[in-house]
Amino acid sequence: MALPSFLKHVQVLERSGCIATRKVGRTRVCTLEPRVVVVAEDWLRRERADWEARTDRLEHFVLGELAELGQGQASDASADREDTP
Amino acid sequence: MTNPAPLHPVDPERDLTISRLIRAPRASVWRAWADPRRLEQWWLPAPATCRVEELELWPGGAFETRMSDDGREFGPHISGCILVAEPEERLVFTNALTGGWRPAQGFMTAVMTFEAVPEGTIYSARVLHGTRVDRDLHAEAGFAEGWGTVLGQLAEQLEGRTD
Repeated sequence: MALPSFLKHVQVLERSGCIATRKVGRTRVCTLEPRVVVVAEDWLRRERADWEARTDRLEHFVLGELAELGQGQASDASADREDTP
Repeated sequence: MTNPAPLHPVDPERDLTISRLIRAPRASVWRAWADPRRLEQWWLPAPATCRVEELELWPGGAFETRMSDDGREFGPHISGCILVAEPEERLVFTNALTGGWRPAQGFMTAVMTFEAVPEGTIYSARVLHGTRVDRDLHAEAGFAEGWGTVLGQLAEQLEGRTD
């Protein structure tokens, strides 16, 4: 990316409060404002919470199926025992 | 089985991995994913209901789910593409593409693996995102590589908003 374009983007980011800049000699130092970092972290945290909950539901569903299957087999077995003299 | 593509190291700022030991046979964990009628039952949190419209378990296959709050009207949810479907081993989908590998507006890829162990199944879901920036800011920007491109796209988004 060419420097003029890059600087233009930096200006926009500074105007919107996403970054703060200061001149150090001939260098312009840009620092990310905490607000943006918090917003980004919050998004990933929410994604993680969604996927954890989704995985909870998968596990619950699978174990529920297994339990039903187990109960079905148990009642079949006891029915067989009753039938045999 | 096709050679799995090596995964890049996990980036904690934009990826997440969830692993569980599920005390059930791998076949039943896979089936919970692979059978649309089963997937519908756990994909979304209650009280929302899910309808799996398409679950084409082959590379390029469509993956479409819809959701409803009232059980009557269904709106869009996942509109994606299956990239890998190795029964009882690995499932990969993305919403950056829709069925037939058509580019979409999404930003994530999910890689599910199923490993049989004596106690049951180790199930892992790795969710990869293209950028570190807030999803809302990047909704139209698509994937980005490198700070320069991310910066440019972010700035363009902000310029669009302030105009």
